[in-house]
Amino acid sequence: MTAAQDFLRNAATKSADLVHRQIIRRGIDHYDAAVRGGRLRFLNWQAAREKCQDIKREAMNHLDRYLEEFERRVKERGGRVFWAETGEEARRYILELAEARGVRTIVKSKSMVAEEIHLTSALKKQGIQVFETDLGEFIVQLRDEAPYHIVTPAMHLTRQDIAALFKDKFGSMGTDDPKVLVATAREALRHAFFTAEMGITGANFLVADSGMVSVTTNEGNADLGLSLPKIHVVITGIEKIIPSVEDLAILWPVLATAGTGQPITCYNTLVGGPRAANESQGPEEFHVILLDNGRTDLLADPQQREVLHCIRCGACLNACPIYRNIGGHAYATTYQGPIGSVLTPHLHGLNEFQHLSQASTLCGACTDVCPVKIDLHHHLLHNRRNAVERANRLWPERIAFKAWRWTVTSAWRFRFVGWIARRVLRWSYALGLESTPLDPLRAWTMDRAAPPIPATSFRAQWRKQSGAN
Amino acid sequence: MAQTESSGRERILARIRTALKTPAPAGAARHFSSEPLPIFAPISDALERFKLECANNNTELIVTPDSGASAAVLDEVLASLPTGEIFVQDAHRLRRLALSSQRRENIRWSNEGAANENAQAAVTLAEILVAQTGSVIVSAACGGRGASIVAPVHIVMATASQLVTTLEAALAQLREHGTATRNSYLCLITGSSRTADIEKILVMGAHGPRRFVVILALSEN
Amino acid sequence: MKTSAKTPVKIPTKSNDYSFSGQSVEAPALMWGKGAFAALRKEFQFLLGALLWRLKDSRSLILPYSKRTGEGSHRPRKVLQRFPQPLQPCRDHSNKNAASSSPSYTRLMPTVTMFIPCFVDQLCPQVGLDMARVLRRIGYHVDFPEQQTCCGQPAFNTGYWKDARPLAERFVRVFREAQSVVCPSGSCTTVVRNFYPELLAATPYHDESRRLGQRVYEFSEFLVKVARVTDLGANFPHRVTYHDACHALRELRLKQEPRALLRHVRGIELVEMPYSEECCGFGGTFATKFHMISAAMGDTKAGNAEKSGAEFVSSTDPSCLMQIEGILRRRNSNVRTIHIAGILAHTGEAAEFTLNAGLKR
Repeated sequence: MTAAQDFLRNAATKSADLVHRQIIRRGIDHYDAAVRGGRLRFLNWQAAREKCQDIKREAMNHLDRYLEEFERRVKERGGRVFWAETGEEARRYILELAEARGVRTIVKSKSMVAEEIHLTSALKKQGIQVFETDLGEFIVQLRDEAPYHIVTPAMHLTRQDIAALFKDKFGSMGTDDPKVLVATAREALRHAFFTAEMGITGANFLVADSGMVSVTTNEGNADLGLSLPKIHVVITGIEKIIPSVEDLAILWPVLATAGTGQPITCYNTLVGGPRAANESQGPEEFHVILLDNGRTDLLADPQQREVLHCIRCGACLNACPIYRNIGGHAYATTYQGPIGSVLTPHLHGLNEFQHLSQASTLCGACTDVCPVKIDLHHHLLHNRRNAVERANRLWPERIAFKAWRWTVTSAWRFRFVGWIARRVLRWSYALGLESTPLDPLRAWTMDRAAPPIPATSFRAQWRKQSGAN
Repeated sequence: MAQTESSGRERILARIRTALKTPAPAGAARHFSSEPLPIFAPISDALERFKLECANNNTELIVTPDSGASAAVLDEVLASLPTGEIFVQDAHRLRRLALSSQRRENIRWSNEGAANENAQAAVTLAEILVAQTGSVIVSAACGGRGASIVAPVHIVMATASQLVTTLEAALAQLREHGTATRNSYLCLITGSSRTADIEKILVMGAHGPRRFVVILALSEN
Repeated sequence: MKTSAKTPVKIPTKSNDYSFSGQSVEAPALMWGKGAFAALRKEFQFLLGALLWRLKDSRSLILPYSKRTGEGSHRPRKVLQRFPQPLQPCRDHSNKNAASSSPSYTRLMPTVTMFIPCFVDQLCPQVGLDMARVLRRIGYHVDFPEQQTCCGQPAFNTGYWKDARPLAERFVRVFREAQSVVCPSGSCTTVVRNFYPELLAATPYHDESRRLGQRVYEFSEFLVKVARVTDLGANFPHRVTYHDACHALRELRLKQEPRALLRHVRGIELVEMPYSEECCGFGGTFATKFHMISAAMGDTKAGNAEKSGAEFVSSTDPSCLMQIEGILRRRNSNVRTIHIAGILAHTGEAAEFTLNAGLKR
């Protein structure tokens, strides 16, 4: 089955699932309330958005320069930088490194890029145990599922689901008190932190002028993961670069506000290089893997280059009415929601993933909430145009639009076709064909009542009224 | 490996440079004119703001008149904890603290090694305090990486002179004083560890400390 | 949510009931038997009548369409002589509130050109007729260039820009003489104003399309921002909730304008529904391509409309209302939809002429 057919099937199942709709709605209502309060902490939220947009634009406009500066400074600190052109190269680097250092256990904090390159399954195949340390990721890992949302991976589960899961895996009491559940997870992972040989993190930002990587968590799991094990590996896309550490003064609060509604996330860590000579604790090795994997292709499209500005806050997912109804799993891609729909065709092929750009009403809620002002819904439109011009579309559709064009480029043809269509519909409905397989508007009436079909069009009535003198 | 490494790097940079030859189209008209509007409300009283933010983000802030009083408060806090190792940053100021003997025998200094898995508390200094968000910036110099995260209780001994108004000023200071260059690790800590991954319900105390205590001395003596 | 296909759809058939188009049309009977025969007979009578009417005006069969009421012709002006409309000065319906009385009333009959979207023309003509009525009431002379067909949105939104482009060029040609163009749909206005410049970027029509875009207005936007009227003298004693259509809200930035117009309607009780800004799920071809998601979104919207306790849902976009109406009917809901022009046109005065008089079957 193609990705498009898969998506339609999943979307159909999820759209009809009222329980799922309720759970997601509850989660998003919490989020909306928190963000409304969060934005009030800014004197001027729109100005904050524009400032963040400026920072990312500057970073992308001189991407090569900032990446080189970043690499130089990381090297000065004793770290290593590896430039991976594809996901395969990045995986291979990490696998070889783990092999060479005799790594048996890895603690990992949340990284979308690691999902993108399917790192965990590759490590598992090599016999290495990988612990997801972000609570949401930990939960979905236990369930053998993909993350549901880029910020809250377990949004689709109730506390009862999680309690049952923990009871099954750890033999815990089965209480669904969130405090107890969190304590169970903490205990389960604690030992892993202290015994793992390698910690893998993603990066929220790469700071060029300090050669440091910014990693943000509320739980503190990334800090443990980059402090205790002997080796720290950062896997990141090249677009995460920002020019200066002072840019974080606006990016950190904006990321937190858009991501969860908090004024700032609990732990905003800047890490650069292995432990310095005079430091008592820290890893001996520091590796940063800069991943391309299609990002330079996106950079080469001047109209859509700004999609690389994304700071992965998840606001567009929460705003999207399609996401609210079908959830994250239905997309079946690493990146879900509006940003996923815009980005995935560029990373993984327009032909296979054009359906994501079409599964939208272009309502624009995503663009409204994006903290870096990416014109998301217009990019969906551009993806659609690109799909028609460069990718495969079903020939009946192409023919249909040629016929449509023939009809509407002439007033009399338009009137004629409209008249015929209305007659056919009126007769069909007079014969009681609505909602039957012979209904001409079956695609509409499958789910909703047909509109009453008028006998005369507007222009006929207008002509009659103006001609009746 | 080195061969492919450098050529991968060259290829990526070459692709970037080619891509950037075409400029992106100018964006939509901006709301604001050249005069950038203030994004955050100005902070008149840094200490009051710090107190307010700490109350909001679940930081236990204890303001003391001087370092002597701070030491007494520290003793009290440690006394309330279950017996166990107390991991303390190896700093002159902390070594000088007059702590009771019970406390002293449980102390493990940061220069002796990493914190134990079952440490009950960690005591460190800080680099900067930020009033805007009620945050504390620690570095690797403050007891090493992980000192602030490992134990379930983290206590920071700070003075009011370390308080800076905005995040922007704090980051600028880190850069100017070379703190960012000297240290391989910096962390802006805002409150105690938490998670909302379960039904978006906020729970305190995930992997990091459940309690975050800041003992702030108003004067150095 | 999924109701049986056999459930008969209840379309209000009383004469002052409002369907989403405000149309008092008797729907054809939906069952076999006597009712079907009667409906078909009525249809046949109608067709015969239409043919006879055309024969009466035999010119219309001989001359090509454009010669009859083409661009720049004087025919529309004859309307004024026919219908009981005072020319000058117009009845000042908005004078109840002095602050909103408009200086345009003392000008000599400014002209406004109607851009009637293709589906309004074919599926809900009453919306266009109501809009014309309201515009006339406040003293505008209303023009309708019959050469217009469609703005190109179906092809444009699906990505078929090559097919949409000739249509956009044609649109610019049809409306190039117009002073102000008013459209009863936020989405169609958006395509013309916000997207034609991009669609026509590499063509000689680019600059003209940008200028035209600045003269094209959505109906409520025109009333509030150009005509500067908020009290249209309308009377609609019902509880109404307003659905923020996506394009009108986010592309044209209209949030308060339609509400301002509705608030001045006599007898109206305007209530807000939860999540009024959330998309209804229509989205053009999305409604059929991803019909299950569209239905789920429509279901959520219909549920919210019911929660508001309103009797009617109104909006600037007839396409949204078609979607919401379809879902409400399947839910057997008591809530109905009506376009904002339908509310504003409704004055409930007995002496009011109706534009579709004589066309009722």
